[in-house]
Amino acid sequence: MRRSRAVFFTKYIIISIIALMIIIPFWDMIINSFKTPEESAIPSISLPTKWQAAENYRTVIERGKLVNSFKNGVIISGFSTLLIIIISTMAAFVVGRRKEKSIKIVFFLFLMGIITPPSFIVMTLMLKYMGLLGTYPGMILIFTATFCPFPIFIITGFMSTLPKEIEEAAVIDGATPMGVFTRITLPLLRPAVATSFIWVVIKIWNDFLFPIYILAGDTKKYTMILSLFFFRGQFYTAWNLVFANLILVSLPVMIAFIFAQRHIVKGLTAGAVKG
Amino acid sequence: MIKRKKAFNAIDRIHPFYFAIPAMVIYGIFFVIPILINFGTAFTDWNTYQTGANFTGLENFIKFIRSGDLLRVTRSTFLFTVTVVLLQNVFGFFMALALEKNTRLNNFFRALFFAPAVIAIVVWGYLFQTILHPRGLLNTVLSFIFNTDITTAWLGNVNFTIFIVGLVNVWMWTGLSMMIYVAAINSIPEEIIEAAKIDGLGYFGMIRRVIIPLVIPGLTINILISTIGSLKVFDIVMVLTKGGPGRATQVFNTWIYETFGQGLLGYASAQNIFLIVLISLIAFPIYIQLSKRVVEA
Repeated sequence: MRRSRAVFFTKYIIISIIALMIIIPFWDMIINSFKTPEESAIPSISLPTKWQAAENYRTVIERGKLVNSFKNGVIISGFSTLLIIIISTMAAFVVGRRKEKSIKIVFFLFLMGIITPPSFIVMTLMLKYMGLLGTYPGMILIFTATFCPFPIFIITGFMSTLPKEIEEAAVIDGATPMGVFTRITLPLLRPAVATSFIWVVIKIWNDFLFPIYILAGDTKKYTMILSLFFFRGQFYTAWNLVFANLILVSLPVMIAFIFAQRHIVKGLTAGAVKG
Repeated sequence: MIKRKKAFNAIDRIHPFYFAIPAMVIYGIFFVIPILINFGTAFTDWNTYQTGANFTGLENFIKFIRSGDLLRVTRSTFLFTVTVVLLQNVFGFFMALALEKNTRLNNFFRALFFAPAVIAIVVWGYLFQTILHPRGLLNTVLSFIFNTDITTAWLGNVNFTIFIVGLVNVWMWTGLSMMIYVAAINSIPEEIIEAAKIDGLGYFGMIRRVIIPLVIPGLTINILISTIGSLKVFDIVMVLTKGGPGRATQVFNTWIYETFGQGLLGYASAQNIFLIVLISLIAFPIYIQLSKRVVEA
């Protein structure tokens, strides 16, 4: 008994030391955002001798145009996610039920999209010819196309486990396909939709590669990540401001993580396992 | 027989094909068609300095093979991938083993270890730029521990910086690997563990003879996602080193982006095609097996 207690304590002491490797970077990021430029020139984990939190954050929000990029992020992630959920559930409604060869081919084509790297060059130039480069619709369509295969995969998998009898009963009662979809199937798909939703929102909110190709030409359309990238290029000596920017950019996700931690961990892990 | 056929038709009627069309159209136009066009443009001299493009055959491919660019980029991408896949799985597995029981304390630590994965890679990239600076936090700590002045430029070395970039990536994503292993360990049936205990297996015997063989599915998934993710890596390299020093840490996606920025669209297309084919060849065989299993389950 005494030995197992010693093992228990040793184990959690080691885990706590590893945990410090996560906590210190977070602390480092937060504390340096409260310092003066001189003191943050060499960022350290000590407390600031002179606090200038409000000033740093105000400067970053104004000069970094963060209100605008937050709005862009909300519009782009919001509409992309909504569109992805709508088209994915609709596609899964067919693909998860029907067994013909042609349906299987369609499903396989979607699956390929999960691992195949996109063609950024042609996508960018294509949007340019369509007049959609650097616009919300352009960005939303690219995100939707690139990130829909995975939700389709998860929701289809879930769809094929649902009993068919309820749908058949509804049809006998005279329901249309659209009625069956919205009133019966969609509510049953809720767990798979929740997982996909979390996965998609975090993926898109944090994405850097697509915005840098598609939005880099137009400052007004920057997402938060992209604005951070260019802010860093501009203020490369003012680490206190860069740190404040890091905090502000991660804040929305951090808040979400604190409140919906269990769902997010579950969503992203389930996402990974099934993808 | 007739009855079955009727039921089948009913299912088809409630699930008409047109429901799949919106997804097919958006995915087709904005994802699949660009890749198909890319297969064509890779064989041209398409660039932003001229109108139109000429067919140049394999010239782009010969160019990046002859100049040694392909070899250099492939090398650093593979070094990054090996570092990430190996360490993320080893650390992830042992942390999962330590935190496998669903207690309150373990849940807290799991969430903490997972937290970095939720925040954008760009954010961590800038933070680690300061931590890994010659006068940064890491060297301060190391100097204190070893009692000498350490000023290694972790991000400025042509030989080992790619491993350091890999380590930052491991730091960020180990929590995800850990959670996948936790799920895999927790899905081992209780009876098997009990039976092994009755047979007198000790803790390490249990790990070696029971747990490792039974988490193989989790291992496959972990290796697959970390491999694909590493081959496609962009953000962390772009933010930490921009491919430098020199071009020592340039990976496929930063290479493609650089060529794109120079306006050499045909050349960048050829590089992109190479990456697409490479990832497909590596990942598809494993992937098809996995998805079959998930769909059947």
